[in-house]
Amino acid sequence: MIRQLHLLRTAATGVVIALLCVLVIVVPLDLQSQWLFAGLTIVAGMLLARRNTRQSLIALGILSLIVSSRYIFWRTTQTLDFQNVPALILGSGLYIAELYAWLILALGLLQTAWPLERPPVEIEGEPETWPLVDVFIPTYNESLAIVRGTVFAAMDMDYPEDRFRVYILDDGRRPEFREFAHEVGCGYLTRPDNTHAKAGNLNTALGKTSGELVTIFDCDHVPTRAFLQMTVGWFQKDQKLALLQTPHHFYSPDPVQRNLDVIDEQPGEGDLFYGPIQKGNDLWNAAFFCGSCAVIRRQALQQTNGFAGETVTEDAHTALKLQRMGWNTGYLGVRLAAGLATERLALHVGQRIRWARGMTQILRIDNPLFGRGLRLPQRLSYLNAMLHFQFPLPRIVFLTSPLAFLLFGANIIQAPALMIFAYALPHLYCSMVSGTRSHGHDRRPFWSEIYETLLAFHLVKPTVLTWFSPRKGKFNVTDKGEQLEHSYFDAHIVKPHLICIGLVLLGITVGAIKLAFFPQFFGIQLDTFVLNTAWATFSLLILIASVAVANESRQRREHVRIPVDLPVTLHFSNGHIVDARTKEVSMGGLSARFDPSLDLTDWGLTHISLSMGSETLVVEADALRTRNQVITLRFQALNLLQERQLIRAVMGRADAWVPDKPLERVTGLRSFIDIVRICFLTVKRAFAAKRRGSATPRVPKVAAVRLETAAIAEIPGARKRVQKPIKRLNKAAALLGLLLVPALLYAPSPAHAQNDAPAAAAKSASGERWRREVTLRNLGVRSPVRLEGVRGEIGIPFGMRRDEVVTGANLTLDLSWSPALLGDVSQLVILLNDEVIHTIRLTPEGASGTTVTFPVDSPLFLPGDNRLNLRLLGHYSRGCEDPFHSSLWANVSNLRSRFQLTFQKLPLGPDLARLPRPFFDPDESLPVRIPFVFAKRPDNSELEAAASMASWLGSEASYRGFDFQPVIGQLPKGNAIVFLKSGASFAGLPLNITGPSAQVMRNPADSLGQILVIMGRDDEELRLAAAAIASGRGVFQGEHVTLSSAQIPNYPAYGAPRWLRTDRPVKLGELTQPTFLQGSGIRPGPLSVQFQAAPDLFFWPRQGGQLDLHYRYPVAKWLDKSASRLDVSLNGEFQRTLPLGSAHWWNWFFDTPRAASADASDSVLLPRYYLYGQNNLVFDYQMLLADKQECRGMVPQDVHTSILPDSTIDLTGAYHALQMPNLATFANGGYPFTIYPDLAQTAVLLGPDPSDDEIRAFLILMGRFGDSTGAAATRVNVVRGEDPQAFANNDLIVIGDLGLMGNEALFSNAPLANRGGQLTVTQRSPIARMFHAVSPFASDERSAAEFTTGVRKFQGILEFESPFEQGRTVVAVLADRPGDLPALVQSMANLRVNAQIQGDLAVFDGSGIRSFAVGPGYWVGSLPLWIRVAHWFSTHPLLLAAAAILVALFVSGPAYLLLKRQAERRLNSESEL
Amino acid sequence: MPLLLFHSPKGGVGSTFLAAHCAMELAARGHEPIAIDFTYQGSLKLFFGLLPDQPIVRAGDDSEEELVAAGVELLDGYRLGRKAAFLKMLADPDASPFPSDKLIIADVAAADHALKQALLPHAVLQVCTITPGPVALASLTKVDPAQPLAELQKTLIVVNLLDDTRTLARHSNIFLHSAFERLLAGTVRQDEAVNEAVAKFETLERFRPTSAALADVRAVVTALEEHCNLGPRKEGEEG
Repeated sequence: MIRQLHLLRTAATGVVIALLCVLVIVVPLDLQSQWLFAGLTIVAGMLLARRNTRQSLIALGILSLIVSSRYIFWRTTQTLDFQNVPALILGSGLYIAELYAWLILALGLLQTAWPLERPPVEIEGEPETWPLVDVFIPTYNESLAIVRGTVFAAMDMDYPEDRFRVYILDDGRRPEFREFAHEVGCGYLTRPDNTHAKAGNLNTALGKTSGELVTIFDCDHVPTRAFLQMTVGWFQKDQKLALLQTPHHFYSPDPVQRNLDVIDEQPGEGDLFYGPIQKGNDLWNAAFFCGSCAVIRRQALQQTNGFAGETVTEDAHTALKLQRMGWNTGYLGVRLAAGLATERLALHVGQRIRWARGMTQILRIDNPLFGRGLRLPQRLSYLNAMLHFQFPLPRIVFLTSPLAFLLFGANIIQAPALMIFAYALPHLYCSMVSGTRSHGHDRRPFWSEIYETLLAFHLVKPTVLTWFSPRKGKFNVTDKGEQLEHSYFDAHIVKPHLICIGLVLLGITVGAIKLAFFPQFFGIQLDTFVLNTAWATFSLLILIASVAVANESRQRREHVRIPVDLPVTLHFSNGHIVDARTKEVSMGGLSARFDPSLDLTDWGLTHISLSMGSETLVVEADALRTRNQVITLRFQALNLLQERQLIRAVMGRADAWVPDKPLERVTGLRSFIDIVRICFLTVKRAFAAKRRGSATPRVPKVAAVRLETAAIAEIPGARKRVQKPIKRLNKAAALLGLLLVPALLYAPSPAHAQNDAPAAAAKSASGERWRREVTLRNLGVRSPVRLEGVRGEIGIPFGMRRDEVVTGANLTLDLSWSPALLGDVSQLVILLNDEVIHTIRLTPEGASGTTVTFPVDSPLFLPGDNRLNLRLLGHYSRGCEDPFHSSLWANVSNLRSRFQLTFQKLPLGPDLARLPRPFFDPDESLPVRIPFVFAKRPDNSELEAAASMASWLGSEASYRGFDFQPVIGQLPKGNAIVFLKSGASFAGLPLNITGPSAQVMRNPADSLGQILVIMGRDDEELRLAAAAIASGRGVFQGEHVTLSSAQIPNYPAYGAPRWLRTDRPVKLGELTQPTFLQGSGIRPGPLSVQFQAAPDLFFWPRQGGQLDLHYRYPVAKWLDKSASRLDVSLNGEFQRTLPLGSAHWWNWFFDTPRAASADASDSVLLPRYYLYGQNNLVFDYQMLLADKQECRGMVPQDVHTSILPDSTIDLTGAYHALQMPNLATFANGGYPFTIYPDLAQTAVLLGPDPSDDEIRAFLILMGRFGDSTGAAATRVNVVRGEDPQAFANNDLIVIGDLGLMGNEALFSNAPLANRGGQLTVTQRSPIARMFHAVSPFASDERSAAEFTTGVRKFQGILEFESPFEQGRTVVAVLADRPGDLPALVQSMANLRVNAQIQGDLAVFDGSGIRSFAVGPGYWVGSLPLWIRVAHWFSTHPLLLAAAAILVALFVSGPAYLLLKRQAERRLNSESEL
Repeated sequence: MPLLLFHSPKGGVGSTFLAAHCAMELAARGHEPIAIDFTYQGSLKLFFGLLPDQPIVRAGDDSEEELVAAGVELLDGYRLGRKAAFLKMLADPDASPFPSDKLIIADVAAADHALKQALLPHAVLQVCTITPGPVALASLTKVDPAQPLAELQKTLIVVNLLDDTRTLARHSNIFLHSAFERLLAGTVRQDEAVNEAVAKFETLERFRPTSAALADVRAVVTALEEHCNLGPRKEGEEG
């Protein structure tokens, strides 16, 4: 039971940690928060790195993995949105390279988590019973001099003489080798052919020998005497051990160590691999064979048919095969042999090409991830080894990526530079520190980059080709032990590096030029430039350091000197002997340090003697020089015995290669400074060499020349390229300047907007003729019309009611124009439905203001859609002129210009089929005013029925405006809607109510009016009748309809027909007619698309919705492609400018002389902050003329542009959630009541006896809701007084006077309280205040209090959480005087006022609204728990960072124990985890 | 206190040299050795940087002042070794003619076999110096005619005057080491500096502190100390 509980608790903790981990990786943060996150994780990284324990190292590794995963997740989800094809290609390359780096990081962490320190074990039993060992020394073309040493040392190994035998495996079939073998008494094996190279050679030897164990030494790997003593024991201890590998130590410096000798004590390249990596592999039983210095069990090899010959790296592949058979491998990290490093860079590269090819071959032929016999950690360890060699392409990508931006302006990470910094910094820092810590002293920081860069360019081909044809290619032998007569610069091997350096320099230069001189033209930004330049500079440093390695320093010594400290005795001809200690020993001589008190200058050296325990090696020697207490001497010819003894003395000692002290661990900064120093020296040398001229012809001059040509040769080309744009740029700037002034003055506004003005429609009933005045503003022109250019034009669409016929019309225009216009050639032409109705000559006399009234031929008016066009034909000069000269303008007032219409009503018979006509005519642009008639003061059901009708008409009338005046007990003139229940009656309405029904009929009180009567015998039927009419329009016939069987639609949450669907992207063509998306003329004016959306769309972690825009525009010579643009705005907020014509400079070369049309696509973010309930998306083409010179300008006619209707608005994937109170969404979209568009979960609380004004306010509000949703409010619940049930299960709207606030239970959460007629702003308790600090709203209790008490007659809107149910909202629309209520509700239709309504308290002060946020916040909507948690974390970046650190620390504990246990198992040869 | 007897069956192998330097080294290590030269030549003093005509105190003569060189009290024991009383005293195994609180180094000539035999029962150790050559090797049989070399308990052999450049010398040395490993206290290489120091009337320590031979002697002394359980002493710790 306790155990189960414990398990349960462990599991629960695991789940929590896993969830936290996921959160830390996936939760996106904004810039500032991410910086906080970065800062804290970096500090944690620093602290962990400072503690020098294995557990802190594991924690650091996990932390680094977490932040790197976070970076990769961010890169994957937020930065791959490429703008064009080049950015896509380059950006994908970089992304894949980063994925690769991340994978290697993760695998590397697993691999080096716990380097296994395997101790040597003693061999058991009597020496006569020790395993028989065959020692193989394969050779192919190496010189005998090299092989001799190895053979001597091998034969000298400390192991019973008859228990091991040394064989030379000569694939070169050379007689002198055979002779040598005979002479020294070792075995000599050879074979007739060389198939399968080294593997074949070894396999042949296997067939001819029979030892239990096989030891392999490459012919230059000299073993110490202890080799077998130290290794063989493990094969006794672990019977499943197939292989024990020991390090390859090199006693000669590798090319990097030798050629960059300015760095002291640089670890060898192999130290990392033969240190933490192989030891780490060993932990997972995945140490692999490295071709030499290893012992292998013959029995195991027999199972794999010997060594693997399919690949060029037979070693690793053999180990893999052995492990697949279930054998163990081990790694003993003690240097028991030493060999020669590759001498020259070219050879080093050649060797690595083989390795890279071989590893790639294995990856393809025998992938460790698949196939039988391996455990997961083994698979991953092998995979890492093989994937490591896939570094060339990613490395090149990392080196050259900043060029994409610097040279081509391509943004290959689609994020702001600072954001990239903020995400990449913790990732780079933590992985660097974690790598540095786990590599310890075996690899200095940043040097891996140099090693990789050195090889990358040469390894691309072998890795990539091998990837495709893994079975090709032959084994090449690495030459060693060569001499180098002269220092020289191997320019050939670093040619790609030099080219790359040239490109990077060019990139930085070009980028700097772009930034300094043409920042706007190239759209280059400082932070992006800094990011890319810093990156490029790092690339440059790494590249130069790599190139420095190619400066091959001279290596004239025949023998490699080995630094070794041995006692030596110097013998002199005068009989003196001197004890000294060696500094360096080679097979040809030595140098030794002697006591400073001695002066050996004139003493003749004869011999040196070297004590070797029981024996003493004595060699005749000649002193070469004696300087600074160091004597350097050369041996005279050594005989075989002496050679053997020397090898034993120098290289055979068990501790020969054990470092005296571990190398210093170097910090990242130190290492970086070293690299900078190398670069500095290299460049200095290159220039010095250049200055020296021919003195040293072959030396680094090549580098200098290369560098020069790379850096300089490219620049003239670049200069040529940028010159052309300069000229064009000047022109473009001039044109832009000219056009900008009028463009700024001309403020476009949406054509369709709410018409809140009560309009100047004066219906004077004079017989059957009606008169009406309609201003341009009534027609939807929101600002004065400004016409510009030689041919400026505006089209004003408007509608005419179908039940009216215009019988006479005058148009009055109030206009002014430029006095510079030439009167005889300048006109304003007025067209109605494309017919010219008037022409006004624009003479200078009337320029300051003229009012013209002229009759319009009435038949030109059409029922339905009409269009009035005003066209300016202006000229300021008779000769050539600038078509957009600033003096070409005319202004037409939108308020004082008007139609005076006389019209006649058509006697249309009453017919339900015409609904909503005549009560609302869509063709009319005037507000709808329909009286709602009740027989007596309406009860709740009548109000509910009226709500249905009001919301229906509101949705129909929409932006035109609406007003519903309740009328009690009498019929008004004109049209009206009557609500009638059984029992009530009206004079002149002889109706017999038989059930829910509706009837349309002439108004008994007005022959021209019609009334719609909604009837029912009881409350239910009345509601049903109203709901049916409101939601079933267009399906009724005749005058009367019975609605008892009507189906009222039932909407789900967020089912409002007008709200943009979020389950798929919506095409603009679905939202508006495609013709509205077409612009004509060079100034097409704004094209707009209206749409409504749920106000609580919660896009996080995305920033908002997305507009996938496809647009089309003409391309011709006249278009200034660099300055012309398409501006996109959302709700008046400018979002993006999209280019017309690509912004890239290369397009200047491909200018086509032909006219053509171009399609372009782009994505525009619709930020959630600017997405409201009602939205207006505006596209504004700004086309500028390219060649704008006087006398040449030809304004192109009939220019067409369009927004393609298949452009989409994509709101998919959004959740619904909103932090309340938020009156803006109420004012804008009726939220949260309209979540159910039929108001199924809304209760409206009115006063006990609501006045006409209160009812009117209620009806207008319902109209607004209908307008918002497009659905009728058929399920609204009207209550008066207390109604606990309605209060509990609904969102509440309270409309009425301040007396309603007397309901203290209801208003207990309100931001305002009515205390004895005195309004007070609620003061919260200190605890509530503390919680308030978490709320995103600014607290402005005090200012709210001051303002509210300052207002004499309160009218305003309150919003607060319902005290009856959590997550429910109460909105109270209150006024001191109920008479103010309709105006208050009506004012929400005014855009300016609407925008002012925010927070939880909006107070009308006579001219506008002041809003406050006083009360506590709460959430409304449905958000999955994990999104809620993630979002909460996203607002608490420090906690998120703390979670990352916590996870790292928490996981490191069990990981430590797990690894420790695994290490113990391995060392005890137990079966594994 | 212990008596260290330096005697070799073969003359001219550097027994006196070794006795002198062992005494000086022991003195340097804090013991208070008395070196008694039982030879007729009296060449022991030469290694202490003394002139050939420098008289030294006769053993058993208390009237003269002590002569201490390089921390070693030097005594001329030639006459004492010839005195019957002395020999008689030596014949009694329980009686000791030497002060009990001093470390006595006795250098006995090769030919003075009788004296050596008389002193041996009182000695903790006989140091037998030989050179790595056939003649010296042959003389090993004469170290104690009564007992085989390998069975000797109180004898340590030191190889002196080794010249590594000579193959035979080297091989002889290797042979000695492998054959009499237990008896071997060390090897002192031939170094001309030894002769030059004597010629200059200086101790080797002063003349050539880095001398290879001196370094070898130090190793030998360490072996002697270990063998006799002397243990290194520090100054101020005596008594």
